Amino acid sequence: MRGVLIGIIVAVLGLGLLVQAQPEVITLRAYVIGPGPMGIKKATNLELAAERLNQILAASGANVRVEVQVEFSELKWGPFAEKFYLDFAAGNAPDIVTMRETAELAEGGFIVPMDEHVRTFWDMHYFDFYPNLWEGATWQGQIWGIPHDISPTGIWYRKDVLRALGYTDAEINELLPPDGNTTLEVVARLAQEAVDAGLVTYGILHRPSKGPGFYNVLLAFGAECYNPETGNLILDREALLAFYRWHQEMVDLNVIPPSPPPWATIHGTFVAGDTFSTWASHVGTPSEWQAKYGLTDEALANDLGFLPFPPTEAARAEGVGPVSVHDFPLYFVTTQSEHPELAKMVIMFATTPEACAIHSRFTLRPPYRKSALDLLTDVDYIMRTAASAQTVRPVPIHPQFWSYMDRAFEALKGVEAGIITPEQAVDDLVAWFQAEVPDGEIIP
Amino acid sequence: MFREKLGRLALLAPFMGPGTLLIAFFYCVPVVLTLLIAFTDMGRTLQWHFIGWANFAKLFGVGARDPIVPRVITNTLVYVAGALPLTVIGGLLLAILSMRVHRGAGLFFRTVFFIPRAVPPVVWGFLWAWAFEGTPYGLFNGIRTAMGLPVVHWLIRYPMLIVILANGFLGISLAMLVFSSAIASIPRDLTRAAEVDGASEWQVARYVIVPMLKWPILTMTAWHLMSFLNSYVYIMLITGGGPYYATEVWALYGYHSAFSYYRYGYGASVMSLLVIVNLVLLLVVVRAFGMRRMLIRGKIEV
Amino acid sequence: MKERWDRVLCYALLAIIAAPFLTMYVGFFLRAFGERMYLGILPKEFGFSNFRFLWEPIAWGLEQTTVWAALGNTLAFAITSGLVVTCICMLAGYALSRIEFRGKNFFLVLQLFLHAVPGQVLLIAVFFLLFYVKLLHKVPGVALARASLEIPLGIWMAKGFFDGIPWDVERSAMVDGCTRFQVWYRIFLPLVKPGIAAVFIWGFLFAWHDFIYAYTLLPGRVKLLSTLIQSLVATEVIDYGYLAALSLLYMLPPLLLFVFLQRALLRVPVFGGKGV
Repeated sequence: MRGVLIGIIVAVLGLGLLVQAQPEVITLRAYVIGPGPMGIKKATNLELAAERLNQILAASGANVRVEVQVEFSELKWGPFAEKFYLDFAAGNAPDIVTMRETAELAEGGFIVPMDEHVRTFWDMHYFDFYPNLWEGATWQGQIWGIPHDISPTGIWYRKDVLRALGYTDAEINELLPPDGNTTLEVVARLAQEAVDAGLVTYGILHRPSKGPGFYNVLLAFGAECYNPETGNLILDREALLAFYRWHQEMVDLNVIPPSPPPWATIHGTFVAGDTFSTWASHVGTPSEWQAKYGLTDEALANDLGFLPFPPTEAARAEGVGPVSVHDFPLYFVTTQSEHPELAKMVIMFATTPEACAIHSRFTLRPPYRKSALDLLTDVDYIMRTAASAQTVRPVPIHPQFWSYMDRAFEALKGVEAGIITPEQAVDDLVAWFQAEVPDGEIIP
Repeated sequence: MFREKLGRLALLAPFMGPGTLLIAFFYCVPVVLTLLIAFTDMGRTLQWHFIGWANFAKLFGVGARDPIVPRVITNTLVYVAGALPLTVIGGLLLAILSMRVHRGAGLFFRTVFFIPRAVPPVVWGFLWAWAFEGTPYGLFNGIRTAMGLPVVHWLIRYPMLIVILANGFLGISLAMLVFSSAIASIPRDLTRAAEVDGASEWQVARYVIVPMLKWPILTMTAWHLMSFLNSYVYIMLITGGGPYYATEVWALYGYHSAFSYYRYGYGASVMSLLVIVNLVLLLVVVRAFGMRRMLIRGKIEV
Repeated sequence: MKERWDRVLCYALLAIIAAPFLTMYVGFFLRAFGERMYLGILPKEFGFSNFRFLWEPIAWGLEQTTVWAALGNTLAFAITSGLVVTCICMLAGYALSRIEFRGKNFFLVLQLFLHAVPGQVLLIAVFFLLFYVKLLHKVPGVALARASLEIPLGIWMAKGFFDGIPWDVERSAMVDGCTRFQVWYRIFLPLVKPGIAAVFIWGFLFAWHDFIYAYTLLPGRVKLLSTLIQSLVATEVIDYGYLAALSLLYMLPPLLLFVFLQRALLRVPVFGGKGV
């Protein structure tokens, strides 16, 4: 009888201990976007973060563990955002999400400010993120997300085409230096030579849709679109007119096709050497070219050249320098998260130098923090292009910025197709601007 | 009395119930909902506020006007003015012609012109997009290239024409069928009498057949008027409304505003105006044709 | 002599107008089976390489799917829609044909009104409606929405079929003590089999051909054949032969269904029939 009692007590105690020994698992959900397969490390880094965090928790003897369920989506930016908003409206938002629409998200109360967190852990963690990047994460004086994926836009061109035209490598380097210290007209002239000589089908191919590359070209013409002091959008009539006129001229000269071909054509023809220059790509695109279009390492090293967008001669005279932009995503914590502070911790661990290096190595995109560079000394391409991340300009954060770009891009398509004149394009844009952006500033 | 009514309701419920519910939910409610959304600024974030008449003000040009709207209105008018006559007159012409020729040939041609309607919209759109593609890989440009002619960028230079043709012939498919069967039911004696009196075939067509088709002609005109006002799927598939809003008709602008630019409120205001125009037109049609006549006809057909 | 010229003129006119279309149809057909094209329309050789989607996945942009998944989705969508339309219209058609009740005429007239307001104009509201009842982005939900568009005219069709059945049938059945529902189920339905077939094809066909509802209301990764074809046209370097072959596959099932149910359809009361 006694034995049975003791047995029961021991069993209950044992069970109790067992139950107590099971750590409490907090599950966080995250939506991470590629788009496409290249971005997978952004998702696995969150899982890595959970792992590291758990190691620390285990060492401290705490009885809590973190689990991150990442849903990696290869959807494009638009559908991904739509999915997020739908899930949020249904009360089903994740804890962490990677998106770009900072102003919209912050204004609508979808995300939690990260200001406090970044300040607390600045000296420990955030200090060596390149300072220019924070501009792309700040809205109305507060930091809302953590940068983790940078890929500055720029001009890619084919050196082998130039060599076929008779230029030596030294001349190429002088005409198109890697720091962008030249003019856009030089690029255009070379493209025209290539087209006239029949070496390529397309001289210059730009994006088939709005995007940071499009904004980059506008900046090269000196067409500022955003006033950081007032926080308002700007429309520079003269610069835009020059922009549209130049594109029309290029179409007339057969350097740019009258309607932009689809992405597959842009990438495919460039890799095959049938396009002289593509303005639709960024520093990290070679990884996609290697994965999907068969670009070899030798070709990347010898035949392709890159530079940030050089200004036009007119813009240069006004002091515009070579410029590179990127519309990078941020790790956000949503307001529907039940563990926002823990989510911030996970994000911090997902942006360690280790995580940064993993992502850079896979995507060939430059690291966003200096210390990661030390871990990447064996990747020649990254070492060569790392500087671009220090000078990249984030796109303006304004709720109507992309509608503005959308309209401007539609107008560009109209001008290239010959439907409207550059003057009409600018007039239409001004009319739209006046109707939709009441506190926008128009510069004649 | 009450019991009777309840009994009647119980009787009707399983039969009329499901249909009524579904129609109420997917037709009536959306009509009202579209109007409601039109008064908000619902956007991609799915957060909304009532903004009163602001959307409509932008459409009508009160205050700052949306610069695309005048162009869209013009496009819609041009499109309907082009496609409607094409459908009615073309359908009539083809119906008459196909009945004048040998029976087998007539059937063959009617089949050729009926195919647009038998084919899924995506395929019809794809067919036109391929036929008029601006490169030598397009059908007609491929033939031109083979004949030594240069390539024509049809879709960029003549987008409205192509869209009118594509939709017009779609309308002809139905119109031709309706007119053919109507012509077939004209009593033979009438046409024979006219021929005996020395009328040529064309005169018979003009003075005997067409007047007898007054009813189907009016029906087809009204039907297709509303159809073309509301249609945008084919245009979306062939030109996407472009280039640069050259073929953006009203209905397409509403769709794009909502689902491409994520301005649901604004798109709803565009669509609700269309719904209102539809209802007004319908009332006019019903008035003009006499609703009773249409119902009575139904009974007789038993 | 004049008649001869008249006739020739007729043939000539018809031929001229039909020529571009015939070119398009024939070209389309040839393109699907053609390997390398000459003149853009005549194949140099024939083969089935354009049908490779039958055994390879289809890729567009960054995504991919198989034709079988799309086919399955489209079948599910169209069959659901067809069944919903059939059930509802057969029920309502009977009541409208046989039962007298207040508002019957109003209801019939309403159907005509509704048919005139096309569903594609109401898409925005339908989007939000489906979202609030949690049926958005799901095939059954969208199929239901699509079905409701065809119900107005389907009801008229069904009514027409029921109208064609003499009253005595009903009278004798009711005398035997059947409830109205039983009369409908046991006696009428077997008699209007062609009507059932017709209404089902009506609902099925419109759903099969649907593009805009699927495109707007289903998420990107759930593809029907129609949205799949559109994706390929929109995002890829267009391989016209491939697309033509895929389109042929897309058009096949309704044809098969039609042939299958053909006999039953010979007695459809045609819209725009005699004396309209």
